[in-house]
Order: sequence, then C-alpha cells, then structure tokens
Amino acid sequence: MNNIKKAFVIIFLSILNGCSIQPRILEDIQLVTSFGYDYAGKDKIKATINMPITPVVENAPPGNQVLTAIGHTSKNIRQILQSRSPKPLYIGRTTVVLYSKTLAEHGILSLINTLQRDPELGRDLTLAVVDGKVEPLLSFHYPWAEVTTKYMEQLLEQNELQNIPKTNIHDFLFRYYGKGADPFMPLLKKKGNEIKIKGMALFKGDRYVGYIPYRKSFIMKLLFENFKSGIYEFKLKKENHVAIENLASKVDYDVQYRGNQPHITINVNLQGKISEFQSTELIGNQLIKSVEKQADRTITREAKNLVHTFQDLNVDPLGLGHKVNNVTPHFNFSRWNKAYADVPIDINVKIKVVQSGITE
Amino acid sequence: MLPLPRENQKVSPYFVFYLIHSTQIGVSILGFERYIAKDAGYDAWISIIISGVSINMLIWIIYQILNKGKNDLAAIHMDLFGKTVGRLMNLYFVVYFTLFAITILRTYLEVIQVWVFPQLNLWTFTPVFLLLMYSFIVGGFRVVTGLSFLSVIYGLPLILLFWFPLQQADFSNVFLKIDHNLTELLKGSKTMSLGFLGFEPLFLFYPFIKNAETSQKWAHFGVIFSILLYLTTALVTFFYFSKEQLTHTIWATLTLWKIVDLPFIERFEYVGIAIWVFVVIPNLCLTVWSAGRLLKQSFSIRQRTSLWITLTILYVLTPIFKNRQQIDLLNVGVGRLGYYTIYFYIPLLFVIQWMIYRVRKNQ
Repeated sequence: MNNIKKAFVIIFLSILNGCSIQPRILEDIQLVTSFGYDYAGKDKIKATINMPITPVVENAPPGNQVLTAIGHTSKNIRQILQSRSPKPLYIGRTTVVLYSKTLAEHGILSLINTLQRDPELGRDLTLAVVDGKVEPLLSFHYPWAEVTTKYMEQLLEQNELQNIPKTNIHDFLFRYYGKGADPFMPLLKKKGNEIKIKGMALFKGDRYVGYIPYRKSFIMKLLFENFKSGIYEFKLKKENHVAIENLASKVDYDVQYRGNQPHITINVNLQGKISEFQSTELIGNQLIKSVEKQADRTITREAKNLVHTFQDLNVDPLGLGHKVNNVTPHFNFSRWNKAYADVPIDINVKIKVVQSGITE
Repeated sequence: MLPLPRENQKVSPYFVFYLIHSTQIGVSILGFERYIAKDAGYDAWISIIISGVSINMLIWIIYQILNKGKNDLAAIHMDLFGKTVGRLMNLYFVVYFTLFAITILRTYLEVIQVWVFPQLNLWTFTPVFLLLMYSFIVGGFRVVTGLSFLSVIYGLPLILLFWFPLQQADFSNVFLKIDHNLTELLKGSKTMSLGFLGFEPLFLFYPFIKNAETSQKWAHFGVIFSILLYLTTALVTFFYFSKEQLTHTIWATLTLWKIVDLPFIERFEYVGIAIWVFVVIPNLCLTVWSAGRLLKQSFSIRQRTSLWITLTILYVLTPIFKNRQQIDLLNVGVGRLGYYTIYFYIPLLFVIQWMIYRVRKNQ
C-alpha cells in the first residue's frame, strides 16, 4: 500500500513538472536552419534567417522562407522576427551562419559569443564570410537544391574534404581565445544563380583582414591538416600541365631554437597519383621522377608565398605561435607577436607518386 | 559500544571498489577542468595525480582508524571524546554530508536547467529526486550498494564518446613542456581534491563490509580508477580546447558531448545528461544515507526518521541557491570545507585515536 502511495506521489509530481515546462513539438515550431548578418550602420545589424518550409500539400517539394530584420543584438532581432512568424522560431538545427564582409571587418565576436552561449546549438556549426551582402545570398532560390541551407551545407562539406581547411565554430573559438593563432573561415560569394567558395577569409582577432583565393586554399590545407583527397595542378614543362591527385597528405611542424630565435620547419609528405597529364608521353619511371621533383619545387614555392602572405598581413591562421608556445617554457607572447612577421619558416614538401591510374 | 549491523545486512569486500569509485565520480567531473587549469594550466594533469595519491594515503589512514575502532565514525567519536563532544562531532559530519548532498543535487539540477529545461521549477522537481532517493535508501545499505555498482556500469560506456573530440584534438597542447612550478601544481591539486571528495561515507559503511579489513585494497583500486577517469577526461579536454577557451567553458565535459554526432542522435548531451541521473543518484543516496546513519547512531532515533529529517533539509535548502554565482559559491565553499575535513581532521583523528589508545593501554 505504502509503495502504491509513493508511486502515486512520484507520478503526480512528474505530471506537475511536465506542466511547468514548455513542450517543443516539431509540427508546432519553426526551425531555422541558417542565418546571416549584414552591417546596417553603427551598432546595428541586419539579420536574415532562412527556414525550410514543408507545404501541407501532398507531393509538393519543400521550399524556403526568408525573414529579415534590423536591430542591435541578435536576440532582439529574433524577437522582432518572431512578430512575423506564425510559429515560435528555434535555432537548434542551424548548420550554417554567415557574416557579411563589411560586418566582419567591424568584428563579430559578440555575434559568435551568443552562439557559443546557447545550449540549443551544436558544435559543428559552420561559420562563413560572404563577399557582398548576406541577404540576397540567403533569400535567392537556387536551382541546385530546394533548400538553400542544404545546398550551402553540402557545398562546404565536400569542399572541406578536399580543397579547403576544415573549420567550424569550435575552431574559431579555439583560435580566437587561444594565444598564438588567428581564426579563418570560408569566404562565399553569390554568382548568378549559384554560390561559390571564393577562398578563405582571414581574421585578426575577430576582424576580417583579408583572404586567400580558392586556388591557394589547397596549399593552406596541405600546411594545416592531414587529409586524403584533393587535386593539385601545375605546369611540368613549357606547355604540359600535370594534375596530381592527393591520396594521403601528412604535415608536421618542427620548432628548433637557433640562439634565441625560434626556427620553424613545416614538413609536408604527400602521396599522390598522376590523374591527368597534358601530353602523349608515356608515364614511366623517369617521368614520375621529374614530376615529383617539379611538384616539390612548385608546391614549396607556393607554400612559402602563402606563409609570407600570412606574415605580411600579420595573421597566424596556421597557429604557429601556439605551436612554438607548446614547446617553449615560459613563452613570451608579446615578443612573439612583434617578431612573427619576420620569423624564419622553412617548408619542405616531399611528393611521392605511387600510382598513375589504370594505364601506363 | 553501539551494536554492529547483522550479517545479512553486509556486502562483500569488493563492493567497496564501486562504493568509493561511484561517489568520487559525480557532478564535479562535468566541469572540473577549467578550475584546475586556472591554477596549474595544462600541466594540471600532474595535479590530478598528486591529488589522487594523497587521497590514497587518506584511505590508508581511514582504514587504520576504522580497523582500530572496529565500528563506524559515530561510535569512534563517542568512544574517543565522550558522549557529548562525540555527538557534536557527529553533528558536524551530519551537516557536512547534508551540505555535500545539497551541492551535488543543486549542481545537477543546474545542469538540467541550463542545458535542457530552462523553465524547470525546482520546488516541484526536487521532490521527485528526493522521493526516488528515499525509496532507494529505505531499502537499506545493500540496495544503495547495488545502485553504486549499476552507476559504474551505466556510466563507463560514456568514455567511448571521447573518440569524437579526439578527432579534432591538438595533441601538442599538453606534455611537451612543464610551465608551472610546484606551488602552482599543488594549488591545482588542492582544487582537484573537490573532485575526489565523496569517499568519506567509508567512515559509516565500514561495519557493513564483510571482513572489512580485507576490503582496503578494493578502496585503493576504486581511487586509482577514479584518478584514471579524471585524468582521461582532463587530457581529452586539454587536447580539444585551447587554454583560454577552456576558461570560458563552464561544463567542459558536457561540451565535449555536444560534438558527438551519431546518425540516430544528433545532440548527444541530452542523452548524456539523462544517463547522468544514474551516476548522481547513488552519490546522493550514499551521502544522505551516511547523514541519516550518523543521526541514528548518535541520537538513537530510527533511521527512517533521520532520513526524513535529512531529506526535508535538502528540500528546503536546495532550491534556495538561485543563480550561477550562488551555486559556484556553494561548490567552492563545500569544496573548501571538504578539503579541510579530509586533509586536516582525518589525520588529526588518527593521531588523537592513537594517543588515547596508548594512554588506555598503559592504564
């Protein structure tokens, strides 16, 4: 009897608790899947949110609904947007967040901070900068896909596999808060009726300072992380171009001290296969040797240029300061920041061609 | 001398492993990383080991006290200090255990409030927890032991989730250099000792162990296992977050669960928080059981009555702590109280007992 009474009390209390909590039923809420911010004058931002809408009609394809509002804080804007949405808006399923270049030049930390603070949001959120305005990019209906968010998501995801370094909100915060590293994110641009990745946007702190073009982002990826795909094309002889497909690329950083000065060596080892060769020449051992040699030289040169670009802009997207700090006891960051632009950086690229496809 | 528990209320010696380990892994593992990193940076993994070794020494001391006293803390206190002072000392431990339970409960409820249900009303939700605890504790010590055993079994698979943050880890964050001096490392281990708190109920459940003297090695194994778990968690966190980023993250371990992306569960932290009930409940049960047991032993009231007293205090005091600052204050306060209790009072008790027994022997 006593047990039944106890069980009854527990059930009663649970029901009581159920009443105090707002339920979120999928049919009754509006999920926002991507949103972005434009600069709208001093202290003001314009937000655009994109939501997939499933029509109630049978067999009808899903569509997009876009809302825009101007305000001071992102949460205030959410409130304004709420006044125009029949269902409560929830951002828990957001996968892409965009910032216009102008806004990014003014600093975006407060906007990223609110994403980090929100327990609703996951950690694999992709952030990107838009060259131009966010609103037209988000409100256009692209022929590629019915839902714009899905389109951007897939575009970024498959490029992150082979052409551009992987980034998400965690990386941004890791680099922003961590000393000796600067954040970066993909730079998107709307061109006609499609979106393209223009390159990688570089940040100093939370401010956009410049970008590197898409072509060079593969080199940046080589220097940044280990990966197993992607294609790099270069000129072999006068007119012949070769495309090498990356099968496995590994990078490691070596920091040595010469006197008081840190000396950084970046070693890249790439195993690849020749996937295209602009010549009728047979691919034999000799040719492979010369391809390897030429590729080493070209990629090393390009990588050096890239690192110099970073040093000229005084940004450190590769996190060199972080890496030097990790091996240096009592590291002095203010001295490092001053010295960064002139720190000697050596790059060794070793390319090994292991396959040449199914023909010789 | 107070009567010892009957043989059919006792548990096997190896259960001490689960009892000790499960109470050490509680709410503190969800967010201890940033506190130790504040003191000792990313060298704090050394602090965890230092702290763990010191806890092992304390376990040794506790066994020395209990093996000599041959009963629980309440009986030893009253034996050594006389009835009145002994009761006062017992009362201190009742307060200590109650505060400890409040800290666990409130911190866990805060996690639910912040991560899952912001609108949760504590005045109606706390009783659900308390009644759940009541129904377990009334079952007696053996039920509580079984619960500790299950909590270890349910909690362990969560280690596998570290696979996800490790894929994005920067392994060069730790190990390559040691930047902090011994003082800082010791400060870190002082902070860390809050995580290892929770083995004190050993003072009370000792008479409930069959051949209690032989259970000492299991207690040590329990602590060692906790050290390993804390160490793994801290290292994965250090690999994943940059140091300054970690200082902004309140529940680093929970944030690690956020990255878990399974095909059928996109947001694992909700599942993780739900599973954590199984880890928190035995924690609470054992501390509240200890408080009730102490009350029973020192004031000869029925354990059911003393249990109601403790639970009522828990119900009144838990929802009083309203915001992050207050909860943080509670955690820090109880942590400090626990620190002095285990590192100063336990060795002191050991010395006092040793002296009194010597004097008695000579007489």
